[in-house]
Amino acid sequence: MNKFITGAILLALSATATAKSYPPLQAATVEGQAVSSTNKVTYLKFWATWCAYCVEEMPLLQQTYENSQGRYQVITVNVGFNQTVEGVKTYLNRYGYQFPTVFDSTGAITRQYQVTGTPQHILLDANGTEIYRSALMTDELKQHLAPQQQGTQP
Amino acid sequence: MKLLNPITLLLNLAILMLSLCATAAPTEYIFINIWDEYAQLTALPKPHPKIERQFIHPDINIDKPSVDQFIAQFPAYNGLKIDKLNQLAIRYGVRQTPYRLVVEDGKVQQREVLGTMPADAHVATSTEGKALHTLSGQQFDPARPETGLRVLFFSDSLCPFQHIPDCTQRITQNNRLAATIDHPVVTVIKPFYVDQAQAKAYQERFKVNHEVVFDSHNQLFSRFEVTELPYWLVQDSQGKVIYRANQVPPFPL
Repeated sequence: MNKFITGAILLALSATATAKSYPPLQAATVEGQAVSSTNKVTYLKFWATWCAYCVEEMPLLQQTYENSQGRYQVITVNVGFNQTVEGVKTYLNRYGYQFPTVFDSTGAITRQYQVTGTPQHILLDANGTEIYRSALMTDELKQHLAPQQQGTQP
Repeated sequence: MKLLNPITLLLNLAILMLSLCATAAPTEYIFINIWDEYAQLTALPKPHPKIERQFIHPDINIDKPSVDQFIAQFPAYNGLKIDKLNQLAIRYGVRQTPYRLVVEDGKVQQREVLGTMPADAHVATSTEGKALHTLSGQQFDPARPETGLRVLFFSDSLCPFQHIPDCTQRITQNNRLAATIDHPVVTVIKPFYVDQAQAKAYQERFKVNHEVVFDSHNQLFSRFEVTELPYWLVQDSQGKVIYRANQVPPFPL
């Protein structure tokens, strides 16, 4: 019994340790549209225009946005370092990318989600708990984001 | 007024002098981004003899092995430190590199931009490229393995790096695979931020005894839609992909 209790405590502790939660993201996009992760499954993508890995993933990101089918929302966060908001807007318009993009002018959002590299993919559940995180577009991330039956959670 | 005894007076004087020394020396912080420096070195201002210079890297896309590798190539940047959690950058409002600050008593005395912002990255999107060769000079045809099965191991010469989880271990696994199966194994190196010389250094560093292709135009990564690193594909004799995963292919398939 003792072993069971110890095991249960360890399991609970490990679950707590791995399940990171974040305060909801409340921001405005570069086009002035308000976005919020409150009560929504949210796919956050951190990027920069100088980041070759990020630029390579952009068409996939647009495709993911188009295929999200209301199961989750896509919010991209330009990390704002060595970037200007005008430059980011020009870049998005040049390639016709339509996903909502927030410009992190002070780095506060990047810090809030403990992002120290680009690209960075973070999938949050409706409570703001991290479901998945990766640097690159992994198979596991693609499975989470793949179009499935309506109403299915990532 | 209370008179201090001579010992207390001396002690107070010493503390005062120490604090003056501690606060008087200004520090010059030069924030750089090593990935931009590889492309073009910043023209640094002449150091001031009475100002301590510290090179700082923002805490983004950086780790210690990358810093060590950079300093080995550019010893002038010896002592380059990562600004953990961007504490200095946040405190002094630094949002771009290269950037110079002179700080005295916690206050910024001078600040200046030392260069232009990095250009947008351009990534080749066409799968049609030049003919590919291995580092040993053999022609590499992505469509026709010409043998039975062929393993393609997609890797990155920036390893070890945070974008490439467990890459050192995966490279070892791949070397072991190459040594134990009868099919050819080819390592394909991502071209971002590196050149062929770094692909060769990768081959030596990780003791890779099989063929290595430097995918100079990213055409193999695009052609096979590889977006994760490290990653394995297995082709059949017709070039068809019969296995793809971030795990070592289990032979026999």
